[in-house]
Amino acid sequence: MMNNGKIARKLSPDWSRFVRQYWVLAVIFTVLAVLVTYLMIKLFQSSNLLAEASRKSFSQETKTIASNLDGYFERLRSHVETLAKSKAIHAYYQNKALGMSLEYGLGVAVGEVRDEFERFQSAFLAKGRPISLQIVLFDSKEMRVVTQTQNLLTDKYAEYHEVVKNVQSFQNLPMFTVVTKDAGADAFAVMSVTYKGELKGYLLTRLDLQTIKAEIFTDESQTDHAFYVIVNSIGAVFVGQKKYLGKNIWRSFGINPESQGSFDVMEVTSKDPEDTGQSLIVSGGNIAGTPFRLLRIAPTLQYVPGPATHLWQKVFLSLVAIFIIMLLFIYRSLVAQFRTYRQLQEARDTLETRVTERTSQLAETNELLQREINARSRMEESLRNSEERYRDLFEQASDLIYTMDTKGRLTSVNEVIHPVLGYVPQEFLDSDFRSIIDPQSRPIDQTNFAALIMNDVDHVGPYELLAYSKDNVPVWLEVTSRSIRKNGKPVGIHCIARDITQKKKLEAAILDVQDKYQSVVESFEGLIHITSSNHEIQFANQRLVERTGYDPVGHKCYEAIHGLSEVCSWCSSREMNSEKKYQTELLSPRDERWYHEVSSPLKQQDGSLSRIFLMHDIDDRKRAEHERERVEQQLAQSQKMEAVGTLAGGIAHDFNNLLQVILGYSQLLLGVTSLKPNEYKNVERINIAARHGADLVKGLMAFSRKAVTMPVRLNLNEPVKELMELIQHTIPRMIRVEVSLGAEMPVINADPGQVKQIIMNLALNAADAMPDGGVLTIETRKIVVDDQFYKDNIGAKPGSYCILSVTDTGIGITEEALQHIFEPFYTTKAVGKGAGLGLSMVFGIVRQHGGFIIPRSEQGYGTTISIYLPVNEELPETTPEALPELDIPIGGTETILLVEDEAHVRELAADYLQELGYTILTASNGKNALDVFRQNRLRISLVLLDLIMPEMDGRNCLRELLKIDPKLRVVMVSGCASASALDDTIELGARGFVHKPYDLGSLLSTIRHVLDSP
Amino acid sequence: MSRMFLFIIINLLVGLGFADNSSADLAQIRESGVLRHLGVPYSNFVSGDGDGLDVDILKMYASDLGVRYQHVPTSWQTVVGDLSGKKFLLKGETVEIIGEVPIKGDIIGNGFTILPWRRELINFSIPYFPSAVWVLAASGSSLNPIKPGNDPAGDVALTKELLIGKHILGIKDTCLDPAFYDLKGATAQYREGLQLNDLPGAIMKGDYEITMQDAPDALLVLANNPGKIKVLGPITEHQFMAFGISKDSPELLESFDQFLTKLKDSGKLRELIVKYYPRILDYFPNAGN
Repeated sequence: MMNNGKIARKLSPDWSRFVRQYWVLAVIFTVLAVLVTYLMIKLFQSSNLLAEASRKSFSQETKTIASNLDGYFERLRSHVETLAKSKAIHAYYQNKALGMSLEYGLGVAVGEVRDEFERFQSAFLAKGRPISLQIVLFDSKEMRVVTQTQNLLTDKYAEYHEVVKNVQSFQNLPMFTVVTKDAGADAFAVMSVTYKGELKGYLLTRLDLQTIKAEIFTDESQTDHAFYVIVNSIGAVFVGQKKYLGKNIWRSFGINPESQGSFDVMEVTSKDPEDTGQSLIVSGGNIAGTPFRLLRIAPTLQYVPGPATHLWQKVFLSLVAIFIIMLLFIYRSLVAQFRTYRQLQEARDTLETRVTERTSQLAETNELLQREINARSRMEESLRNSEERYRDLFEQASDLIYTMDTKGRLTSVNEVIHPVLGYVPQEFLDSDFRSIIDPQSRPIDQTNFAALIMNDVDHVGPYELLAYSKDNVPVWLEVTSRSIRKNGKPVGIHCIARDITQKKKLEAAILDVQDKYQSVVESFEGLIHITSSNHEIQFANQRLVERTGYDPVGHKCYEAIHGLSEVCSWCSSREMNSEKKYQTELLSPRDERWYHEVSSPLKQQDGSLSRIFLMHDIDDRKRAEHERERVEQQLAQSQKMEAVGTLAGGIAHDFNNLLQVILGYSQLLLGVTSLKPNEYKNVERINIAARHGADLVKGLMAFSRKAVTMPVRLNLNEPVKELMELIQHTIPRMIRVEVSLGAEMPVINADPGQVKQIIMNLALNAADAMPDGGVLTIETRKIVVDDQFYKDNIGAKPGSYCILSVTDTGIGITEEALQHIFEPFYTTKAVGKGAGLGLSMVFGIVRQHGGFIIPRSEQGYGTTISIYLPVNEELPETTPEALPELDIPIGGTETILLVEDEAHVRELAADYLQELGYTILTASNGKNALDVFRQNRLRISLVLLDLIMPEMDGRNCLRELLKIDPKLRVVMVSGCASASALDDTIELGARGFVHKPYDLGSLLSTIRHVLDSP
Repeated sequence: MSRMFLFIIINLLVGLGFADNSSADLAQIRESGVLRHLGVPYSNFVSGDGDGLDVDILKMYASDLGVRYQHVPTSWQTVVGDLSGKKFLLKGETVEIIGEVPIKGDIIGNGFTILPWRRELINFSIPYFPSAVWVLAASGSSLNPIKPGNDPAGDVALTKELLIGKHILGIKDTCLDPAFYDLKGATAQYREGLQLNDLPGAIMKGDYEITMQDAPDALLVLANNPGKIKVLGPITEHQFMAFGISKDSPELLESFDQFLTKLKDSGKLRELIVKYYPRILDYFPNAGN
């Protein structure tokens, strides 16, 4: 760039030199150019003025004709307006407004309109022709033609939509509009038709364009090249030259549509394919009152003078061309000269630059050489020093150092070879060192050797080799090798080998210990973990890993092993930091299993104290122990209850006899009328007390399963329903009773009376447990007891049961009390509040029915006593019904043999019966009874026989008596016979039985009933 | 005495001749030299001023026969009797002959609609003019014209339904008697002295609300009174008008039918129809063909 600038400034004198040489020519040339230019301008201005005048004349002619058209269209508009307001059209809309249809009446008005149109057509002519080709009344609401004149032309508009839509947006009507079609156009005069102010339609008059054309244009004014056309608002030609009809004139001449309304005259270039490029002059004039415009088109040359213009244009252009050519020649020669000089200058500059560069290069090279010489001297010195150091290291190292050539021959070796391998250096020099290597180690040695020598590796190792000493002792060496290079190529190998034989031995020993340790740990069936004093697991055996599901090392032991978020309750920090051994049995919360855990201290290498834990699963054993304890407890309880029952049964019998005496005599005394009131009261108290005693004995007997039962087929829901009202009235009002009875309860064999006793007893107990109110729930349901249930509850047997549950929301029963609640006389109530026989009686009744009871209680929440009664659909054996009691004791005269071992009872009964007229014979045991009977057989009508007697019991006596007299009437008496025992006697032949202690009246009833029966 | 007896006999004979009450057939008409036209003044059929469609036709026929044309005034109530010589009572659509009346004419022509009951008493020529009966109302009536369907019978039903509960002005015992058209729920109204031509005027004046007209006459009324009267709908489907000829004049019937046919074929009948009923072709495009 700088060079170009320099060159440019230096060439300026050359240009001025050139100008000085040719100045005359330049002046002449300039004067000529100016003169010619002036003349050309003047010529141009004259031509322009002439052309302008011609254009004005052209335009004026056009406007004159346009004004003629104004009048024509004005007349046309007036005619159309008149027609649109005709009576016929008005009448049509009048009739239409009345609702008439074309079928009935409206057609008249339509016909009148059509006639009006035809009259109009005939009346308004131009040049002898109707100005309208067709008139149409178009209903703009219904978009249909109402009526129209006949079309004089062959083509038709089907619906006049095109025409109507052209004008609908215009407010001022009548309106003229044009519709173009192929090679043509139609013009319409459109007038809106209203009726009562409402637009109803349009009157369309299709104009005869030929008439318009004839009206306006003469033949002389129309030639192929100079002609008039009439266009609409968008430039479509609808009157005029045939070749332009229907076409857009603006497009044909390339006139901007926006300027078409404003120009008077303009020159355009025709784009018509027939005369493309021809210059045309166009003038226009608006036709007032219409959107139309009259255009006159002619060739420019024909109407606007301009031969001089054209000639001037050609001459001007020629001169300009010559001038430009001359300038070009001058410019080219100057440019050539400039180019030559510039090339010379560039060459000179290049030469100078090269010389300078070469000189500096030589200086640099010289400097480099000098530096290199100095560096070489330093290197040689350094090399010498290194060799000396190497030599010292080589000889004094504790490791074996040797070098080999590329063939593996030892080129040097230090003295250490002797203590390590037993050789002296001279023995091995120049020999293959690898010969002493064990065959198993040779592959790795060869691989490393090859890498160093052939594979461009600089350093390998450390790696281990097994070699043999001179004494054939195996020696392990740890070798590090490096390649020796000269000029980048390996020429040998330098090796350092350390004797690691002792280390290998130690490693083997450690591995051996580790293996043993691992097998011990993994073979242990339990969990082993080593945990730090802060409970972090440091080691876990495989079983522990399986338990946690992940590697617990690093996790807290209580979290990983037991799933706890804090230290286990059985583990203390004292134990974790102790050096003592501990063991414990724990229940892991993670899996709810029992483990036996032993932990011992373990000192770590860093001195910290860890503990090793061994956990052994003892859950099965523990559970078995618990189960055994539970079963033993249940068994003990059952045996205890059995013993108590037996005792109770035995006591009951004796008590009954005693009570019989008291009850009987007190009853007799109450029959004595001479008693004073207070004496009577006293005797009554004795009788009442004896009855209470009898009830207690009944309870005991029930407990001991010696109560008399009369089982029938029973739905457990029935006694519950029957007692509901009684229970509601009996228990305090603040206790709410809820009942839930099972659906489709199966049938059980049970004494309804005893079942009711159970329900009442349990209900009253439950009520007593809720002194402040609560909820008493009585529920029945059915259940099938499976083997597991049987195992869990001693006394239960597998099978189908009906359950009666009574639940209270009371204070609950302690675990200890729950063990005793069914024992007779066990009570937690205050003295005088209960004898403690209720639940024991329930227990006895249930067991007698073959069922069992399960009590459950939670202190503070309540108690549930569940009675399980077996489902049994077999019909029970028949049991004699209890005899109805007679209100008035009725005696008799028969002879009765009274057999009773208890003397007081015997006397009581004998006295009572004798008073009522019977003859009584007595016996104190079965044997005695047989004797008495044999002796008085004919007069004895009935035997009253006690069941339990010494020597011969009632059953055996009965058998014998019936052998003597099969028809003998015998009534059994007992205070503790079971239902089965009584059933036996009935089967043997007894006619009835009476329970002790009996009411004397009931005794009499029974006797009388049996005597009176057949 | 004998002269007087003869005179009396001759007069009696002459009287008997003149007292003959049978209709004149063709030969008798030719012999008498006159064609007697029974024409009730009605619409443009018989204008009453000596012209009308039926008047022109019968004049041409008379000329064709070579006899003189004579108009005989009559009324709707007597015109059938004037032709047939029968006195009758009209009960619904049945006719009961109760006597005789003098025959006064040879042919009836006054926009005479072919009706079944009339056929029982007279013959009809070939139909020459289409018609129907439309119901008209004043433009201010609250009743709106029916919306016609494609079926004339349906239109009739719609119109009849419109008239339920209404009073319709008509002329008794004529084709414009509402009683003849089974207008259930509608009531016929009559006014003495009222003629067929007076019916539209009566409702335009506002004296009555609804009346009926033959369709051709209704078209004339509409054309002359735009916006004053409206057609509600038809109460008959298309009907036809013809000329009435006595059952005793079969030759006259045949001759007249031939004449009418010739008139149709030549286009003259259509020309005459359009002359008197310019708008008729809008509704009955085949009228006169």
